Amino acid sequence: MDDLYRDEILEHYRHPHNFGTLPEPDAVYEGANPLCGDRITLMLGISEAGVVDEVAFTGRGCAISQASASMLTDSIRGKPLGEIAKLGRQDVLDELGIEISPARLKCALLSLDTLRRALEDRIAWQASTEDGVA
Amino acid sequence: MTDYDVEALRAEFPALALEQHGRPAAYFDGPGGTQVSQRVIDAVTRYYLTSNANDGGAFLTSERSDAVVAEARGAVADLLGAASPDEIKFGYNMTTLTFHISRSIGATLAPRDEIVVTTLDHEANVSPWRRLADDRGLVVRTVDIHPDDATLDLDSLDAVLGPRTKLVAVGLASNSVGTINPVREIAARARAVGALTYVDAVHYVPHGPVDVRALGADFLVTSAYKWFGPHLGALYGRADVLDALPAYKVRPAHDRFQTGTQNFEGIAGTLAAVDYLRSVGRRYGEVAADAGEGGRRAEILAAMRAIQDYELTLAARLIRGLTAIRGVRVHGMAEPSRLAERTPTVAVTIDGVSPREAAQALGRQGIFAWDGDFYARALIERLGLYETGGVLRLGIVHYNTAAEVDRLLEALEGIAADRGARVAAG
Ligand SMILES: Cc1ncc(COP(=O)(O)O)c(C=O)c1O
Repeated sequence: MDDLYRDEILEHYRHPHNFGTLPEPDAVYEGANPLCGDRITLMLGISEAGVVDEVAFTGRGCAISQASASMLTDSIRGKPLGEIAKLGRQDVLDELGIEISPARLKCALLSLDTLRRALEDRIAWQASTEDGVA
Repeated sequence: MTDYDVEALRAEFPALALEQHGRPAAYFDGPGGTQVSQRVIDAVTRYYLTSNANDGGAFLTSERSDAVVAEARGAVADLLGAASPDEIKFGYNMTTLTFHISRSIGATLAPRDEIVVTTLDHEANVSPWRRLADDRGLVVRTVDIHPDDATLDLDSLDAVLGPRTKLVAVGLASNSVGTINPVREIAARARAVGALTYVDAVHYVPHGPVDVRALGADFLVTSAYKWFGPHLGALYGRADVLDALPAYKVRPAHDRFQTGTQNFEGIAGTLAAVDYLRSVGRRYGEVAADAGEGGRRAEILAAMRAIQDYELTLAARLIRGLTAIRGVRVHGMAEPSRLAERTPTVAVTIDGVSPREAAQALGRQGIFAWDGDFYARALIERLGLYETGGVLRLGIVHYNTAAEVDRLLEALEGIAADRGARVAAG
């Protein structure tokens, strides 16, 4: 268990990076773990060139879910969307660097899931405005 | 925070020391009801010694009874993630609470309105709705399962949902095969057609964290005796939904949904059961106290995460062992990769041995496990197991040990081998 509470995770949890909101985000999504209620609201600012130049999140929940969001937001800042789309579960787990029990996988991957949905929503929204629906 | 210490926890449960013919009892009957910690026993005793009275009076013992109920509602609200203690109502048990509230819900429905139930659920979340439908001319529709892994068929849910659907009654987890249902998704689909969701969390609650708001449940029911407390039921109802319902109660009872004199000693014990869970969280959990979750809720969540992690190791051990025994079949999910989608409640059958015979053979060895259909009648029928006596249910809770799992596996191996030998000798 000591392993589980590796200092770095606790540090991210207590002092999360990129914690806050963006006034005019280009993509937003609130993800939640349906059983324990861990939450992450992720906001992205995306440049014309398709680079994530701003990123912020708020949330509450267990150390793993919140530290994972802190680390993930660090790693996507300044990256093009194409590269971000390639991020997989293993990347997030590697970044956390500790063994995650199957019951905690949902917590660890909530940030990635929220990121994917934020980007999917944005694509859906863009498609609908191009159709002149919105 | 230290490593999960099951022996230290077991020492708090006097009944776990029970012996039968010189062998310690092994309790694998948790899904039917759990043992209680000394704290619970003490709290019930203390209630009788210091607080015994009816509520609402102007004197010490009555005031203490009021205080116990108020505190216990707050504790259960935190256990379930409710917004307010006012959303928690106590009652005799889940079944009685459900019959009671179904009458209030029914008063808001019109003939030909529809209620959705599932094949996976305990009858306690089916029969009250069927009776209500009989009384009021409603239509009941049933969501089917995928029989291969005993999960709900969500296409079948979509097929029965419609503009007339007013309520979806679904379990959070199956008390027979352990499947955890995607209730957030189900509640979202119900909401999309304007229906309420009534969640039976009786089986799930001792096994993991619950957040009624994240689930999107309008009602959620649980029973304290499944989570190390007394025989008492509790109902969560979202405040605005409860407020809009007519109540069947005696005039002028001060609570709209708690009828008659309450089981105060049971409520005192229930409060102690939540306190026990908090102490598990403080000892073995990671308490998110600085993440904006007030103390009690954070401690409970920490406990349930620690319990979930621990139980999962035992479930993996049990299922791995079971699939290695010839003649034993696991009903429901058995893949190691899907352990997080289920509770550690495992249904099995043994070729040539009826579930009752298997339970008797285990019982003779001091291993307690239930056989039958556990009121999940529709599920057991759907799996084609009703005629042959249902299943043997092996239920793990947080006070079981790896050594007990090994002892259970060894016993089952013996039972299956005896049968094999009999067949061979034929
Ligand atoms: C899933 C489930 N629902 C409902 C019930 C009935 O609960 P109660 O005994 O509180 O009426 C049980 C009891 O075994 C159960 O396991």
